Amino acid sequence: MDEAVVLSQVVGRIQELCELYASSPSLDWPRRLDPRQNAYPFLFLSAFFLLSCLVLFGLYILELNNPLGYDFCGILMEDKSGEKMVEVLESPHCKRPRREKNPSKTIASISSGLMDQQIWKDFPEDLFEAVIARLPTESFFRFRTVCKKWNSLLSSCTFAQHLAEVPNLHPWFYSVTHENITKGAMYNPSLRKWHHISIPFLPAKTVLLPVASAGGLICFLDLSHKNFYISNPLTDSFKELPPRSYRVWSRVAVGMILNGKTAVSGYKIMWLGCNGDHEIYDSIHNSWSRSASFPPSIKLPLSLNFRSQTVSVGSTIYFMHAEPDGILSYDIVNGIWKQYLIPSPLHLTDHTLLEYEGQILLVGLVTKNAATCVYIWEMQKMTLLWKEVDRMPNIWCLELYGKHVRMTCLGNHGLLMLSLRSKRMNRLVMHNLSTKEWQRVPECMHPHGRKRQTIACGTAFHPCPTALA
Amino acid sequence: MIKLVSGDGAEFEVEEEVAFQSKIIKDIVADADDVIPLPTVSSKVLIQVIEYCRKHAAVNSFPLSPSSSAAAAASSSSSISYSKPVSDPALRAWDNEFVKLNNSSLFDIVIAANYLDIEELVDLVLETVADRIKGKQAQEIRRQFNIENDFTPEEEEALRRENSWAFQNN
Repeated sequence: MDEAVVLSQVVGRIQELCELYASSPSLDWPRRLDPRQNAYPFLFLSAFFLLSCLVLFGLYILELNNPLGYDFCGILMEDKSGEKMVEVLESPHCKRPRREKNPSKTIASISSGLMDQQIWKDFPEDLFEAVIARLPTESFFRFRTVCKKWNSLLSSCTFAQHLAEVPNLHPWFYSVTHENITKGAMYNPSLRKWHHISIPFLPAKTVLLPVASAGGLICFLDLSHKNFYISNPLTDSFKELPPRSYRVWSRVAVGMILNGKTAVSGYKIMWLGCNGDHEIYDSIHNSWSRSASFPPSIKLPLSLNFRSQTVSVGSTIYFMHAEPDGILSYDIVNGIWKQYLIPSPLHLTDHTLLEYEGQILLVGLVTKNAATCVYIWEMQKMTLLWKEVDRMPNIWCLELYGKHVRMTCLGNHGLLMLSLRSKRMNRLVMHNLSTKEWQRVPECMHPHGRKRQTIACGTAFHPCPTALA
Repeated sequence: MIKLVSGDGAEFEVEEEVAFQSKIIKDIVADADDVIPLPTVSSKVLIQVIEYCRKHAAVNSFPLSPSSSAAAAASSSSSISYSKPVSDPALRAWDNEFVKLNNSSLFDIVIAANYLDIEELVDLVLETVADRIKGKQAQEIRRQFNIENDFTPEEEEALRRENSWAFQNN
């Protein structure tokens, strides 16, 4: 700032001098300096030259020390030197704030030199894979086109291990849309973004519904409940499971678990029918088998709630049933059945089981006198009761008032995606079980049109590029 | 006190709890003396690593800041604790400042931290590097890291089509 003040004083003095000359050309002392009488224009020019130099020098100092001084200079130059100089002045004016706003960018731009090329070459292989494993899933798939080495990570075992070590913050959601059965939509809650994928492997004229997921793989069942398919929606990895040994084509509830931490060590899929029939598919043997007989203490037929998703905790799968209301669980590894008869909360509809950190929860709509609200309960295994733990904010419930709302839960792994629909309403809502936040989900628009898609049926899954069906 | 000797011969005396942020040093100290030569680590990098360890050793010995312990108390009133253990926000802010370095310094630090087995520091740096490259296009990555594109245009196009969802900008 000091330089600016000094400079403005100097400039002011010179300005005064010039004015003095202009107003009184009859002054004596220039003549004394130059006897040739034409000293005045010469002096005026040199003074002007000096002024210009000083101003330019001043600008240089100001740029280094005092961004605030720009305005002052701008005005000064406009007066003295015309428009061209003002333009020059304006360019540092815009440059500076941009630099200040984004300090990280400065670091990045310094670093994007030749230096990087060398360090990346010397970078240890396992650390390189660990960096790529930390990229968002979208970036990973974009970077497959960098070179063959980056592309080959998709089938690298060590890379799969790195991926497994990176904590999976949020699940994604996979959903089929009503309009086009060969297209699926994936939602990434971290970026709040829908991705549209086609399912190239889909057998002709079949509709596959996602029914369960584990380790980045999604289990699909066709509408006739006959054939099971496993797919990683991020890649083309796809498999049709061998046919079941039971020739009963009634509706079944389906659950899925992993043998280990990731899909690499295999997975198991279980289906359960209302008459107690059940089978378990083991990916290691690629076959279905029936391990334990259905205990006689459990009353048949079961009234399974097919609207509710099954959930799994460790190796145990939980199914919901009605009449009487309750939960049936089966531990696949130890072959143990358990039944919990828990009365449902009053006025409950459209409910589904949830799992969060090993606890069994329930989400559903409660409608009383046209007022509808979404509630979440936690199962109390000791008292066999549902205890309310959360509900949707009142202001959001008001929107549901008087409308005949239907709700579908599109899966949960700590995050819930709920589709709330009535004749004139179609809302997607997300609830975070750890932060208890409720959030709107942006509408799922068709990529080549303006039409908004209805989300009907889906599942949550943890995106895992390396998972193989 | 433990004495660490960098590759260029500089000696650094640090407290045990600072040095023990490194699992390797912890193992070495268990069956050797207290002077530990670290021939592959330069003093410049070691200074930064020690700075990190010092900060984390201090925070880890008092793991909860007043604000986070209050939050933990509040959440414990419910029968399930829904709040996950969040690391100290002040420490996270410190970490964010710590990694404001150019790429080559970061790479030096992560190689040293990997060698010394300081898991948290390795994680922090890898996370930062990933964060710096995540928004780029494949072409920018190739240019920045001098990687030759060994795909034919057809192969590259096929890969793009296969993963077209990742290139969508809706």
